[in-house]
Amino acid sequence: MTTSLAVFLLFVASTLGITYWAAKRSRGASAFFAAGRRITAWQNGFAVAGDFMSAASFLGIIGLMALQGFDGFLYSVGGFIAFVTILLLIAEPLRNTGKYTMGDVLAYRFRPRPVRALVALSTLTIITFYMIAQMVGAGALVTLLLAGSGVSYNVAVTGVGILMMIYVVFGGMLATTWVQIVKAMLLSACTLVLAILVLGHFHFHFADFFAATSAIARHHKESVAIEDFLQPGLRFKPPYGALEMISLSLTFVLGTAGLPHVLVKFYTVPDAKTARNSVVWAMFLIGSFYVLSSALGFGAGAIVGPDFILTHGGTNMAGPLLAKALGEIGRPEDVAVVGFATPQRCGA
Amino acid sequence: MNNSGHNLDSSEWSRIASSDQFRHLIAVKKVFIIPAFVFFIVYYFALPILVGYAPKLMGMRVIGTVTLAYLFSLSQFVVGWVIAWLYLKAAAKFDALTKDILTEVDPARGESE
Repeated sequence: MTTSLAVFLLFVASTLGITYWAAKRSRGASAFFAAGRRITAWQNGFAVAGDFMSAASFLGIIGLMALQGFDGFLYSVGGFIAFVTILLLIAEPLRNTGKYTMGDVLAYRFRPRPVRALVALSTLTIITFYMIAQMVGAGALVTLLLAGSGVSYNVAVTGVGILMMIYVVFGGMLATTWVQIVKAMLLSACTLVLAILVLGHFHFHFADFFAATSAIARHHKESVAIEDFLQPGLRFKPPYGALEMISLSLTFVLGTAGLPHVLVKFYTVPDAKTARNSVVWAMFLIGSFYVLSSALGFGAGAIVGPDFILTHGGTNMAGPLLAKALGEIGRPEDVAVVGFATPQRCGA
Repeated sequence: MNNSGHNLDSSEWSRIASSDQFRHLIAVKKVFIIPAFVFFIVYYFALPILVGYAPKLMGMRVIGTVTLAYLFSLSQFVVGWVIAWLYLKAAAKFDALTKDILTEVDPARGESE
């Protein structure tokens, strides 16, 4: 794990470097809260994608597919499709009407004080729950990366929290944007590499890959069952499975369009047109990423196996375990593990 | 178009808002955005509804062991990208109309946009 540690420290050092650079350039409210509104379309697209493809959303989805097959892929579809709502209805009016937050838009039409108070309350509520999920994932990954060095889970979570505060307090929006851009690039590259490795494991015969996915052995107490992971119904079961799926879809289509940390990104660009183009960039990145996520999720189910995943860390570890398994079959293991894990670290 | 409103006084605002050109812009936007959004919602919600209420149909193997459910899910990505592409083309028209309105209000600003 020494290579992993080195790459991890390199990532921390370079993000702190970005923060230092951003802190020196930051002058005034617009620079601090909106990166001086000079972020370009592709930069903001990568930053939005980086923000969205976080530890909780991405590791979790791969784990769901590795353990429950196709039903987990519904989360990938929802995560992508949510950006159609943002593109058609949200991004441009938001950029045209507001200055720093969604509260500006609502305050424009309603009595400002109570509206802003409620928006602040709603933002803090959403962010608190969101952050807890991120910190759990980040803590688990850092513990994994620093395994053997005696760093406990609690120390890892605290460390990640302090690091994130440094990025935000000193570097403002410019630093967080660039940290997310770097993260999105690393994450996309690693996902692509892992997806190629998964398909390579099946000698690039898609039929073999899907055949393996549709016959996955799973132990139930004494007996072994063969399950088809391409069939729906392993997660969402009757009587309420269908309603659960519809409710989930509703959450994606309407909920994602209200995530404060995504919305705030549309204030970092110079105008509505750039905001629009940046959503399209994000849709290209997030879409490709989530399509590939099915190769990773099903691959983890077929190659590592749900039994092994459940006894070695559970849902969130499916991706890292897949990287490790592919490494042991004669691939550069450490690079894959770190590549996969590192960028997830600063998910929020 | 961005922030240009800061330099307009309220009489100019209401004059633009009631102008035929502005109404035309809003109408053109609605003609694209509303059908696109409705189509997208119907197509997307067909997925959970069919998977939930017609699991036999969606579990049908279409190519090898690949199920209809998985192919339908992948088609959601294609539909999303196509809507984005169509929207970019339509939005270029919105931008042109916006520019015309701004040029009329303030020739200098319209040119610079």
